[in-house]
Amino acid sequence: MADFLRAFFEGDFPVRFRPSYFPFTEPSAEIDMQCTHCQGEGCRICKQTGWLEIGGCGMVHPNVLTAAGVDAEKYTGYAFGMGVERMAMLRYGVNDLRLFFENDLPFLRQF
Amino acid sequence: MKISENWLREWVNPPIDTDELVSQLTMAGLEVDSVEPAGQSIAGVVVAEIVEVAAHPDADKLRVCQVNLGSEQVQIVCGAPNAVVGLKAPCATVGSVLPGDMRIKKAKLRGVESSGMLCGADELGFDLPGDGLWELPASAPVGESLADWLQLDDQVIEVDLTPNRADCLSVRGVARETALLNNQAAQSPAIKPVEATIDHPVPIELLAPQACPLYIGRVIRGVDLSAESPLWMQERLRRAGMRSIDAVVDVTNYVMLELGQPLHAFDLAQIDGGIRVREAEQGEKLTLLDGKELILDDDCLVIADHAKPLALAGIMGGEHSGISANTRDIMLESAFFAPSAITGRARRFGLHTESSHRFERGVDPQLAKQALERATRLFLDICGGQAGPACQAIEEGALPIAIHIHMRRKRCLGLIGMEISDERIGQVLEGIGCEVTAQDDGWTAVPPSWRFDLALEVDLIEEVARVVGYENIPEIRQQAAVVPGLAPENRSGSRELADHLVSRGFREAVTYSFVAPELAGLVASEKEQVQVTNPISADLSVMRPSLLPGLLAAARRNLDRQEARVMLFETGSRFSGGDGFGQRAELALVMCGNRQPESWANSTNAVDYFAVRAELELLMAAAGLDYQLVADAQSDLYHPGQSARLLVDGKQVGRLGVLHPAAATSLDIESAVACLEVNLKLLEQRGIPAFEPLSKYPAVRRDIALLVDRDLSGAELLESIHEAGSDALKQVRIFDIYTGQGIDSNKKSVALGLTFRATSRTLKDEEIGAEVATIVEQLSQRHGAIQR
Repeated sequence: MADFLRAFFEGDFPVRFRPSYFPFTEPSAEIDMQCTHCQGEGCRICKQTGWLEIGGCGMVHPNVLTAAGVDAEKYTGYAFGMGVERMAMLRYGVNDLRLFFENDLPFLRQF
Repeated sequence: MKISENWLREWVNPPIDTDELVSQLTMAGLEVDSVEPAGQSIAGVVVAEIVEVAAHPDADKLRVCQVNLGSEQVQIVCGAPNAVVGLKAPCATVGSVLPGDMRIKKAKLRGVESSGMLCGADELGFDLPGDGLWELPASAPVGESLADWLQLDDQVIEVDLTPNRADCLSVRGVARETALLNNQAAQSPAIKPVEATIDHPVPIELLAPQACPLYIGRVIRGVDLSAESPLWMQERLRRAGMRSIDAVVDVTNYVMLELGQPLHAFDLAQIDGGIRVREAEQGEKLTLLDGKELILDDDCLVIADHAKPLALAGIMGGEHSGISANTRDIMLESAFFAPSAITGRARRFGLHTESSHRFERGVDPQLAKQALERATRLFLDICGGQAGPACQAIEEGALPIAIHIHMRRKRCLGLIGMEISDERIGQVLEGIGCEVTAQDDGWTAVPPSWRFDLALEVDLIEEVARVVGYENIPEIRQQAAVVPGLAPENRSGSRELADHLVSRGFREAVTYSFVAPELAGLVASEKEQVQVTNPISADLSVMRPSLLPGLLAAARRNLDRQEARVMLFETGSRFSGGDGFGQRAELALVMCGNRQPESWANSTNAVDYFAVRAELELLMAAAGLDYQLVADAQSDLYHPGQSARLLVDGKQVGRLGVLHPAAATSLDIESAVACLEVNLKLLEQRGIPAFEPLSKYPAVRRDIALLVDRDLSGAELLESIHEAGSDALKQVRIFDIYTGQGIDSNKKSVALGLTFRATSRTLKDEEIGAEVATIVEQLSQRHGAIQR
């Protein structure tokens, strides 16, 4: 995940994993990356925390593997997810999520 | 959940500052959302006492007060109606600055000197009931800074808890966690059982023991409900985001915040006979404290007496049995309700209470007795009265069972991906409150009664990882053997398709999978649509039967915004209902306005059937697919004479053409629109070239003109020519079409260029002549064509 984020945003910056809860992973984590706007100093975008919440991840819950017919004793898996619009917003500095679904040509032409 | 840092530090006080404490909690999975000061800056405001009140000589509503500030006595002119001798109230001394940047100066009010300001709670940034001056209790020390006395040097920490950590919905819970992270022990306040001074038992029957296996009730008689809860309690409630209501509500809320046990107080006079904890009867009615009348289902748990339901168990009390101004005797309830008996019930009735929030997630069953004793003590201290015995009804067998979880060392370290010593792991398990037994291959742990989220080996592994710290787990890259591999050449991705269309001048759109019924109706009848059971709105109540309705709406939006030429495409799923129920990936595109961008070199022709057909041809050529076009797309969406169905191997795989004028009108689109929809799967392939030897011999072209029916399509004509011609016929071009003077008005003249070439020799004139004659003969038979 850390490598992906650094590749996607083309930079070397801190990424941290915070314990969290999802019903389908155990252990679970939230992924935070250093705020792209203030470089961790704290700003409006990161609510002064210096971190941006990017997505959730974890080790696939054994119950999920079992339900899918996979031997949870033999296999483990990892799962992760993130909002693609949020990623694009941070990457390109887009300030409004709705723009992605309005399909205005002046917006689409920029990409 | 919001808690005061000072309160937390009474339980556990690690040698770290607020920032570090907050970061510790966040990194342990108790995400801190905000840290706010407990009060606004009110330096210079002191506790004051009014020692003399006189009328203002020149104003009816003002009074001249002599105020004792401890170190001195000052004169203050005040307009509050509750300014009376003996009242203790906050006083902003000269030079202090109040919230809102209000500076207190010496002033003359209607000619009378005033040195300071007596304050109401709101003027100091407190949201407390009551108007006028803030009436401080008699015990408030005159002259002391209000901020010091209220311990305003405190932070309110707001923790955003995940649903599995209901055990942290109290100061005790967060303290336990803080203690664990700092290897300290949490100190709880001493809670001693309250001796009964009256004999007033509460008969309790547990009629639904699976839902409520433990219920404790206690009568307190002769309580004084006019007593106000102490300021320290009001302040702690305020910092937790709760308003002080009255002593009864405040005490139950306080104990819930402190220990995590929701409590309820009933008016004893309204309880008929005794308590019965039972399932509601279907259709039974209950009016709640908030005045809402519920009609209950039989899976709802109620606290009832021998005649009627009194409360919706674990969610909210009833109006009838609630505490009122006339209440003299109360019955205090502390119980354990199984999460499964509470979950979803509050929501069904549009309720969400502090109590339901906790019981749904699980409240420590071993807490009920302790919480009851704590609340009783506080009640007696504040409201007086006589306590009866704590009467407990319990169904041991239905209480949550302590489970033994076996955690293997190898599994634990393997899943976390780092080495951790046995000693540390044992310490963590004990730290979270487990009873731990070491085993050869790991540990057996019995989770504490307050943790409802620990049942499996992985749950314990997560605890180990969390407490050791995710930040200490090393980043290790995946390792794999390197094997050269390429995607098959005959596969093409949607990325290539998108790049191609963008290079053709299109832009990729993303529209919703839900559409309005009117839009869906353009493509599919109601029977063929897939309706959404719980739509976000009426406008988004049908799963799109095609991508076109959404794309056309996007096109119209752009046209409305002064875009003259709109070319959009989208790939995604379309959904069909009825007999063909299912979903399929599709590519759709729309073209509106002029075929070419405005330029001196470009034509100003509007898009038409041929424009969209040209796009299709490029797509199909890339996919290496042979296809047929059959006129008549049979849809309300397409223009009947300017559209076609797309067939591959005789099966329909798409449609294309000009938008039906009626559809254009209903969509309110005035420009020319052409559209295309194709099964996406077909386009995700690529033709692999099959080499043909090149001919060294010259090609020969013959031009002919044929008179055919005016409505014969070019596609059909070309197909017939290719069927009639031999292998030597390499290319056919329609280079002119003529209608008008000299020709029957039902006919058209089509000029064709036929190119012949053989691989092994030069074709002779007569061979070509015979070939052309065969073709003309065939066309004559098939289409009644006449050579001109």
